[in-house]
Amino acid sequence: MNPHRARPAGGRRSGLATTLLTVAIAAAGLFAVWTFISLVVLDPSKRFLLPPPWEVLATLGDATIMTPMLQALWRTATVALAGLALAFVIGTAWAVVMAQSRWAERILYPYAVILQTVPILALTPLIGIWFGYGIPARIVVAVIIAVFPVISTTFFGLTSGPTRAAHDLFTLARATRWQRLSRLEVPAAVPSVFTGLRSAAGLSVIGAIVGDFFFQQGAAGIGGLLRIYTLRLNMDALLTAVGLTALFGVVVFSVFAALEGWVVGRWYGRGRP
Amino acid sequence: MTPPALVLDGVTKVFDDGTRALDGVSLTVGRGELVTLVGPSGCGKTTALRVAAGLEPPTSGSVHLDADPAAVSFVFQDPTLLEWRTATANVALVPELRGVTRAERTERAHRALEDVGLGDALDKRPRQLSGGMRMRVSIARALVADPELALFDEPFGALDEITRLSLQTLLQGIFARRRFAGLFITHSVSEAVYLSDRVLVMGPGRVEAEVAVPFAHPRPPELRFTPEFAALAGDVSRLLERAGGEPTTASESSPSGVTTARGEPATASEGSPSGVTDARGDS
Repeated sequence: MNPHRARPAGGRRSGLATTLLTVAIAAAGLFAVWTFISLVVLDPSKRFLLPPPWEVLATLGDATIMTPMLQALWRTATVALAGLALAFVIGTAWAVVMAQSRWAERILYPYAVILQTVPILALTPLIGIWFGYGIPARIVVAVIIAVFPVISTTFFGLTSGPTRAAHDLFTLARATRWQRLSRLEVPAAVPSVFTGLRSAAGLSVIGAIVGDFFFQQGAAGIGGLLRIYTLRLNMDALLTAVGLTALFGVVVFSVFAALEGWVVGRWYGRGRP
Repeated sequence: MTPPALVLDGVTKVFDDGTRALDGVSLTVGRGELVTLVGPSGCGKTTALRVAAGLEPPTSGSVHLDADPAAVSFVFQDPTLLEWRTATANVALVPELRGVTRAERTERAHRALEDVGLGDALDKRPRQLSGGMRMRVSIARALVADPELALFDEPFGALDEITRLSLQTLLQGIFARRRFAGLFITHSVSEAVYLSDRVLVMGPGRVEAEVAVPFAHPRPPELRFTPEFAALAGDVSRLLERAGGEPTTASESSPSGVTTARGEPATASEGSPSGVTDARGDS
């Protein structure tokens, strides 16, 4: 139907092959540099600072290390998800209120900016006193870090999504404020909301790990384990945990990017014959 | 004379930045009468229409609307469709906002879309439609509420010439059947003469001249290639020039003037391809 999207299948496959090749070359390069530093640059007495790749990879087969690590990662994922859900609810509500009037915007926007700019380190003592030093405090950190993109992109979508003519159309039809919000501003903001959600998802993972790091009461999250491995100078486990965490962040980001593409596509009637 | 549906009486509009967009504009639109407003860009046509619609308050002067405000519709320069809604849901929007039941508004939207030749695109989203088709949806949305007064803000200005001609023919056919009161803004002289009963020529901020168009409705597309049409279009173009604007698309959209001036009406019918009138000719 759409000739612009018809692309030769071969081109696409070779695109994928190129991507895989690039990834393989990058990985091989990383391993080469890593091995070189570990075995050649570092003095054997300091080799524990960066063990060679195969020693680190060996921990993947060690259940005594991997079981607690995966459990901790799962806990962190739960905290991140809870933080993201709360950030989404709070952020969209915040943006909807701000979009109602210039006054609301002037009053509320500075607080959103402050939340974004205050270093989380400065807030941790307060969070600890108010929310305790366990899971709830970790969720609060995830919310604080993740909420700003939700507020800013939703607000942007609500105010810049609908054109002036679309507003005129609603004015001429004597639409109520609720009708304008529910049938024009919110639907027009949907693509922006999902862009914000994608950024917020990545940030909520970071927030949950930072939360783990500071609030260690209760079962440890992956951030807590990172701290423990660091204190014990358990470099194999530390490097594995860092790698796993990075991989987890990539997965979360990709899942939400795919979700965004799918939702926005359906929204505009693509992806449906 | 029928009682007017719309009267602008000495309307002046000065914007906050001091721009004097309208300077004592008076005009009337009778019931069942289509009036066009032609003028160069920036002469205040759109402002006049926005004041008439109640979207801008006049600085001085008055606007009398003898129509149910619910029966006034507006066609924008851009189709202004909601991208996430199907064609049907876009057309059904205004009845929906007024609380018409889903079954009834859907049925009315389907009928309006069939009227504009989009009977097989009911469930398409705007991005799946061509520019001309989107404008048809926009026209269907304006007509779904059975307007007493319809206001058109240069709706065909951004379309290519072939699509533009086919939409003019479509709108003329609908007008001939339904006879709403209409105020239509354009900068194309031939569009103005083809569609309207009266052409008002605007100079900067004011109505400078008026030309009555005597052709009966419905008007066949071939009307554009007759000497009478060309003569009238020539009159309007001259008035437009005198009013202080250059006729921007007059020469480009009335090549028939050349043909008929040579006295060859035979070539005129050749020059009006049936594809232009085909409802789905634009894509």
